[in-house]
Order: sequence, then structure tokens, then C-alpha cells
Amino acid sequence: MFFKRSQARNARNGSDAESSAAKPDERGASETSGGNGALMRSGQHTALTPVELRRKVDGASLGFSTTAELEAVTGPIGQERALKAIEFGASMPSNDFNVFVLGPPASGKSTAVKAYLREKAATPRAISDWVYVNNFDDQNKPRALELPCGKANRFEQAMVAMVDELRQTVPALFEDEDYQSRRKTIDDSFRSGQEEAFEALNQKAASQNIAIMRTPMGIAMAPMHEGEVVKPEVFNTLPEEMRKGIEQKIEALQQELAEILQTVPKSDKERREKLDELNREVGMQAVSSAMEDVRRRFSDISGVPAYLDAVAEDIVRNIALFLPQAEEGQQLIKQSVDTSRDPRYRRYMVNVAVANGEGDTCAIPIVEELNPTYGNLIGRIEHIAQMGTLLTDFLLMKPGSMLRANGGYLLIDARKLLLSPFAWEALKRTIKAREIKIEQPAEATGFMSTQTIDPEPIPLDVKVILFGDRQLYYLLASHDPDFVRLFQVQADFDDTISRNTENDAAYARLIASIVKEHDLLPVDASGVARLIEQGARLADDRQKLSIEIGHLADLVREADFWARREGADIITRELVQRAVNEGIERADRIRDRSHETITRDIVMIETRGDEVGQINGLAVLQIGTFAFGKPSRITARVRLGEGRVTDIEREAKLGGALHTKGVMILWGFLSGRFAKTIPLALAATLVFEQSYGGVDGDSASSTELYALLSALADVPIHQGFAVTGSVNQFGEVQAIGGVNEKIEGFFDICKAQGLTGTQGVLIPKANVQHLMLREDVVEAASNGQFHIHSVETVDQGIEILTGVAAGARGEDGSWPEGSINARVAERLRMFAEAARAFSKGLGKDDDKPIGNGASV
Amino acid sequence: MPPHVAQSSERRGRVILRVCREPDRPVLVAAVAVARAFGADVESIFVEDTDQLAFASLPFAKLVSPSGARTSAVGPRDIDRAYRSLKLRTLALLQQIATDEETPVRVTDVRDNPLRALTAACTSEGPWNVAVLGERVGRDGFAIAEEILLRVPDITGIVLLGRSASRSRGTMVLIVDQLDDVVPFLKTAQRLAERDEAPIAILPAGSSLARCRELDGEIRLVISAEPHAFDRVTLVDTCATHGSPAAFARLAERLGPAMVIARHGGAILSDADAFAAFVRPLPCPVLVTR
Repeated sequence: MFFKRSQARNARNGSDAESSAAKPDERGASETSGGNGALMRSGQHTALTPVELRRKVDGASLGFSTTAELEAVTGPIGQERALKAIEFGASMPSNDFNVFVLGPPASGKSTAVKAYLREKAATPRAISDWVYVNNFDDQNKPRALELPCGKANRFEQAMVAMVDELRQTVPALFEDEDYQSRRKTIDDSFRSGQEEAFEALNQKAASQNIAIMRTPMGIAMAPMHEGEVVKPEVFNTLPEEMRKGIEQKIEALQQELAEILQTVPKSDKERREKLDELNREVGMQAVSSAMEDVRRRFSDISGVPAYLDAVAEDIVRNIALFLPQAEEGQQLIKQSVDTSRDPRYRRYMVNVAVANGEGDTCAIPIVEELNPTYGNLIGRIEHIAQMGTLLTDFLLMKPGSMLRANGGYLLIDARKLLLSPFAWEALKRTIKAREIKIEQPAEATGFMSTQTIDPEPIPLDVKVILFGDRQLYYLLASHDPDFVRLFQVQADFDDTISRNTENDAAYARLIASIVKEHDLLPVDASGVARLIEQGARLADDRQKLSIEIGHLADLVREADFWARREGADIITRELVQRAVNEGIERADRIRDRSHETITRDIVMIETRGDEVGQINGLAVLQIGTFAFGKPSRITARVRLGEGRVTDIEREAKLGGALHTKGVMILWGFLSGRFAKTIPLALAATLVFEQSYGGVDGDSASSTELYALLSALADVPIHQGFAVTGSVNQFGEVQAIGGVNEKIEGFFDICKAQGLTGTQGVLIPKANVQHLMLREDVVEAASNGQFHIHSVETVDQGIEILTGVAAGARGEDGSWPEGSINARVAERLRMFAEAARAFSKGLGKDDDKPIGNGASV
Repeated sequence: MPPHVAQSSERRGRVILRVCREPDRPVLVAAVAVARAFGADVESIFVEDTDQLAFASLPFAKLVSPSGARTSAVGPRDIDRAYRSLKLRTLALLQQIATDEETPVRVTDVRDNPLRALTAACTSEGPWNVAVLGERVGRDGFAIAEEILLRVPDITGIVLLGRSASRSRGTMVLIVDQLDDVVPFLKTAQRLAERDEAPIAILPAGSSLARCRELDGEIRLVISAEPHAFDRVTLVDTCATHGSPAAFARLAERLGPAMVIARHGGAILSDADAFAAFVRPLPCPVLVTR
């Protein structure tokens, strides 16, 4: 019986046990019953010995004194299947054979994978660096250049050096005497042409006594006399012919002036063209020289020469960028801005997207993305706010981990990935496309319409390794068809390894590794032995060891803490035990409160005496990482009825499906054994007393059956027992989960109420292999104060509980007189007869009780 | 004015800005800079040229647009309106620049011949006057300067801007072709350079190599006589220029000049051609002294 939160655990152990549980040869009958109805309460034939209750490890048998003598393990232990899968996935050169590493948390999956990949990455392999550069044809579409490994940073530095050099050489070249004189020649040839024309016009006008004046509105021409403009009143007195002559002269001069002025833009254009030509020639000279180094070093790389040609062309076209600006001379600090930070030269800079190594050493990237958001995974395009506008360029593209892992491996936690908006779809899209393109998530989904940059995609060759638990893997596999196709390799990390001498030794080396990794005190052999025992307890199986390395490491680290606090220089068994106890104490407040309600008689649990139709069941409560057993009273009442067992938990909607199934199985058992030839005229009610939460699991089904049999047989059950185990229709008791916690839970209650020597727990025989009980429980069992019985059938169980033989069916089909089965059969026969009489109208005046409902 | 004001340790002088045509910002900046250095107001005279008004009254008066694309009839009212508009625009810009430099601006409207207007302004309060011409000059600048210096006796210097002038900060460049100019030029330059603690460069301008070397030596003697009085001063070797105005202009340009001080009619500004060759490429104003 489990309360709902521990369903999974119950199901796991239950199913494990089912396959291994031995089945009796003859179903439906007890092999152990004496068949004579004699009292047999001692149950000595089923009580387990202390050795069976806990599989102890003898430190002396381990063959070392402390872990300091042991060689640390380099990889996980007992994970051959998973490692083989990782090796296959990592080596398979295909974009859809990515790996999903599944297994419990803290099982060392990530450490194991990284260790393997590091080893694999040590083998040299050709990988590339990638850079983004400006696209001089379309600045909104930055280009991606592939460079041999280790060249990206050098290329970036070479480009900065090239621009630096131009900043020095271009001003010098343009200030040079040669350039200045050539420029002046061009300027002068055009200017003097204009000025000469103006001067000639001026002289011509002056010779005709016409003045040329510049007014705020334009150029005027007026008649002059003795250096003064002729006044209108004087002009008007002139003879008509003279006036007309002057007007005609002025008109002709105005025409000439207009023609001269109209040539200005054209000649200016010619001058500019000549100057541009000169600037281009000088600029090209500077650029060719500055680019010599970068061309020599990188021209053998595909795409680079074309890019450098475009850079050279752009620099020549914009050579003025390299000339000192007017305001530069007025700066407070006379120091030129770092080239890589100067916005004027951004277009010539290089954005290193991927750089796999420095110098001649290339490292295959193994990137672990701890925060797999869309931006961190795919990359992001950042913006700079300028004058209220968001601007971006190729230098503001930040590569994501997929790009950084290009040519290598990318490790991601699957849960975090799925929780990040857009990230999962983007990852799949990128793997499928085999290329990565940095874009805004809103853009990728078509929500963004503002202009941004559209970088060239980069071919992708990355092996993605996801980490997650099994539930997540199976959910993805069943709900996302892409997942199965893209993550074809599952590396399944086991939770446990088999317990044998070899694995015990490996476990000790694993502990040595933890000690070494965390720089802890050495653990002596007794401490290692205790840790191995704890490993078995964590595995819930005396024949297995948990390899959840995280838990083991936590325990060793805590033991180290207590050791140091006590001034010890070695971790012993006692210190490991203390760490275990301290951990339990920190987590067991709820258990204490729960047990207190029993010891204070708030929750009614009897551990002494005998009762009909009443029995102690056992549940496991799991709160966080801590689980504990809690007894619960189960009662059964029977009466004449129409053949129905009422599961009150189910009726009250407190019972889960598995619990309901268990109750229905009881009905099958009763019908099969006792009502083959008579109608089952029984009405029974079953209830978990004082249970206010949900109940699920079938681990109480045998317990409920015992209560029902007790009620039907009217034979009391000894309340010093608690029972766990599921039952099938043939009365076979089947394995359940949480057996250790359940036993310890009832032991604690018995101990609190006083051990009588007749108390104990009935467990399925199939669960004996899981027993790793606390040492105090084992000690009480050794002293005869507490007994653990393993049973295979309901008949064995009922005999122990009642002290009455169950009874085996005779050849004539009858049960031995006085046996439990005989009493039950007789009671059911009475019910059937009463029912028949009742249906014929004969039973209406019959007040004789035929069930125990009135009397119990 | 500046040389004399500076040499005589007067703190104040007068700066007269004559505006006849549209001035641009560097012109106004230069006027304010000189006024600030000498503790003067910018006395701006907006001159409505009577010759232009007379012209506009002629029955056939027409104007050719600056682009030459259009010729249109014009009347006195059009000219008058244009002058008023010019004044408003110029004054707004001038006051903005002057406010930044904490320099007062005075405004006078005059309807007269531009030269007469300048003469009248200079003689009214004299004698330490410097004129800043609101229009840029080309080759005609030499004649304009000559006429002003000849006909306006109270003027001591004229600030002129060539077509390339745009700088207002940097080195003070002194073109010295006679020893008597060294001290007044230096004192003027010190005033102008005071605010930015700008360097001062002296360019000896000898008409021959021998004269250049002689001048160089003499200037060194003058400076070394008062080493504490003339800090931040460097003497530039100009002997390789052979007295070419264009070469001097290039030399001055490389020094990052804020202003050049030179004597009218001296070795560099000897005639219109020399003036044009020197002033045209210069990136800063020229203070032409008498």
C-alpha cells in the first residue's frame, strides 16, 4: 500500500518482483498448514534470520586500509551499454544520429560523457574557424568566411593592423608635397579658369563703364561714372540712344556672366572627378601597401581574396575616412581612438564567430550550454540605440553555442532546453537544415517586420548530446516525431549495478575518485563497507548497488565534514553512519509528527492484543527525497448481501485505480476458492481507518484479504503484526515496493509502544532480496524482539496472523474442521442459504445473526 | 589694432564687423574670437550699399542669380528687403556664437558706400580698430585690403577669410618679414592663443635665402632676450620655400593654424597674385596688418 505520491516506486519494485517471485506448486492451498486447526501463532517457519535482513559488508574483506591506496576510476562503472551507445553516437557521421543520454539525476551521466568526449577530441581532426565580415555589396547581408582552424583571430588582428597602418600612411600620403602640388595644380587650373573669366568680364565691363556688384540677391550690373553708380535721375536725363546703348551693353554682359556662372557646376564636377582620380591613385597606393601582409598570409583561403578586393575597393572609395577630421585637432586628449572601437572603421573589422584554438593547436570543441535559451543556442543580433533608433551591423552578431560547437559536440540539459521558449524548435530546425543562421527568434517565427541584418548561414556539423531523465525521453519519443528521427541514439544509464566482489571493489574505487575529486579525507575500509551497504539501501535491493554518484558523493562529503569537525583524519564507518543519521534527522520532521499522532493515540494503531476484522497495513510516504513507512489500520465488516465488496476508499474517491484493482482481486480469490458451487451472498466493506488523503497501489491487497478472512472466519488477528504485499486471485502474495521503509516504520511504532517479542511484519517472500534494514531493526530481530516473516501465500500469512491453521482442501472438497478456510466456507454457505431463504420469503422473521456485522 | 593694443599693453580695442553680403559661420567665429581676445565688443555694421540701391532704381535693373540660371528684374524695395533679411539671419547666428564666447555684440545699420561706412565707424571712436570683412575674399582681397588700409587711417588690421578658411583653433602662425614686427606680432598672437594655450609658430619670410637666414638669426636673438615672455613659441625653418607664398601657405597649413598674422605689402602679401596664392588655400583667417 502506498499513498499516491509514491506510486512510481511501488510500480517499479512490484514489477521487478513479479517476475522473480517463486510460485507454489499447488494454487489455492497452503503447503504449510497443519490441516488440523491447531494454533500456530509462533510462525517460526517463516521468520527471517538477521543475515537475511541486512547484507553486511566486512571491511576487512575489501583488501585495503583506506581509499588512499586505491586507484581512482576514470569513467562510470557498470554503464557499458550506455558508454557503447555514446561511442556509437559520437562516431556516427550523420546529422540525425544525435544522442539522448537518459538516466536518473546525479548518476554521473554528464561527467562520463565529457570524459569520453575529451578523450575522443584529443584525436586531431580538420575543423574550421568562422568569421563574419561586412558584405560591401549589401550591408544587410553579412558574409561568413571559413578559415582553417586557428586563423580566425589572426585574420581579425591582421585586418585591425591593416587599418591601423592606413590611419598612419594615408594622412602622410595626402599631406605629401607631391600630392599637394598635384592637387593644387588641378584646383588652380579650374579656379584660375573661372577667376580669369570673371576678371576678364570685370575688365570688359569696366572698360564700358559698367560696374559688377554682388548684392544679397545676386549679381548686378550698373552704369558707372567716375567710379560711382549713375543715379537714376542722372540716367534718366541721358539721351534715349545712350540709355538704350547702356542697356544693351548691360544685357550683353549679363548674358556673358550667366554663361560663366553656368559653367561653374560643370567645371566643378570635372575638378572633382580629377581630384577623385588623384585620390584614388594615392589611396590605392596606400591600400596596396597596407594589405600586403594580410594578402600574403590569407590569400590562399577560399573567399578571402575576393573579400580583400572588396575591402580595398571600399577603402579607396572612402579614403577620406582615414584623413584627420576637423574636430580631431580640437580633442581634449590628443590620442587617436583604438581602431577596433572607431565607428568609422567598423566595416573593415572582423567578427570572430568561431575560433578553435590559438597558434597551431586546434581543439575540437566540446561546448556545454548551461542556459540553453534561444539566444545562447542559436546566437543573437544585438542593437545599439542611436538617436532613438535601434541600429545593428555584422559586428553585433553574437554566435550561440551551436556555432561555437561546430565541428564538435554540444551538451545540453533537455529539461532546460524544453523550458526555453523557441529553443527546442530552433535546435531541431538547425540540425535538420545542417546550417546555422543567426536571426531574431521573432524573425524566425515571422513576427518581426522591422529591418535587421540577414547573415549568410554557416554549414553546421555538430553532434548534439541531450541529457534528461527517462520520463522526459519517453514523453518526447511519444509526442514529438522529430525527436525520434533526430536523436536516434539513446544512451541509457542504469540506476544500479549487481552486487558482487568485483563490483564492490569498483565501488570502492568510485569512492576513492570522489575523495580525490573533492579533496576529502580518505575513507577507511569500514567506512567504504558502510557506504556499500548504503548503496544497496539506496538501490532498495540487497543484491544491487545504486550508482547515483551524486548521492554517494553527497554522503562522503558530509562524512568528511563531520570527520573534520571531530578532528579525525580518516572517515570511518561511524562517521558515515553519522552522516546518514544526520541526513535523516534533517528530513524526518514529518515522520516524527506522523509517528507522534500514533503514540499519542490520535491515530489508532494497536500493537498488542487480537481483533477480528482489523489489521495493520503499511504505507510509504515520500516527501522530497526522504521516504518513511507509516502504519495504517484496515478494517473489514461482512454481512449478507448480493455479492459485493465495497471499497470505501474508492466510494469516497480516495482510492486510486491500482488500489481498486487490488480489492477486485480479493473478490476473485474469494469466489474462486469458496463459491464455486454456491452463490457468494456476501456484502463486505473495507476501509483504511483515519485515512484522509488518497490511497493507491495494490500493496495492501493481501492485508485487506487477511482482514476480510478474519471477519468471515470470525477469528481475531494479532495486532502486533503489520502486513504488506499484494495478492493475486490464487492467493499468492506478490512483491511490493518500499519494503525497508515499511518495516522500519512499524518497528519504530512498536518500539515506541514497547516491544513485546510477538510483534513483526509480514512481507512477500519475493521482497526478501530487497531487505537492507536499519541496524537497530536487525538487532531487535536478533534478540527475538521483532520478527520479519516472509510469506508466499495468503494461507501462510493468515496462520501467522491468527495462530489458526488455514487448512488444506481435502479430496472430497471439504476443509479441515476448525481451520480458517473451513470457517470462511461455512460462513459463506450460511450466507448463501440465508439468501435463498430470504428470496423465498422465509427469512423475514429470522433474527438470528448470520454475519459479524452486528456482533463485531 | 591688435599689434598696437597688445604692444602698448592696452586691454581693449575695437572690432568692427562689416556685413554687406551673406557671411558664413567661420567669418563670424573669427570676429568673435578676435573681439574676445582683446576684450572688445563685436561692433557689427550692416551696410546697405547705396550704389546697389541706386542701381535698383534704374528702369532696366536686373539681377543674375548666383547660379547664372536666371536673370530677373529688381527694384529698390527688393534690395531693401534682402538687406533686412540678411541682417536678421546674420545677427541670429552672430549672437549665438557671441553668447557662447561671452562676448557682447553691438549692431549699427548704415546706408552708405561700404568703404565710407567702415571709415566712419573707425574714425568715430578710434584709434585701435580692426575690421573683419563679412565676405570671403579671393584675388580681389589684396585690392580690398589695400584700399581699406589706405583710406581708413584709423584701422590697424583687417581679418580676411579666403575660400578654404574654416579652422578657428590651433597654432598662431606669424609671417615675419621685418624685425620690427616680431614683438607686436608675438604679443598679438599671445593674446589670441591665450584661451587655448595654443602654440605660436614664427615663419621668417625672407625674399632670398640669405635674407631668410639673417632674419632667422635676428628673430632668435629677440626671442632669447625675453625667454620667459614668449613661451610656446617655435621658429620654423622656411628657407627652403624661397619666399614662395604658396609654399608658405602649405607650411602654415601643416602647422594646423587657427590664424595667420602677416603684413600687407610684405614679402608674402606683396601683390594680388601673392595674396591669392597665399590666402586661397589657407584653412584659417588671415590678420593683415598695416
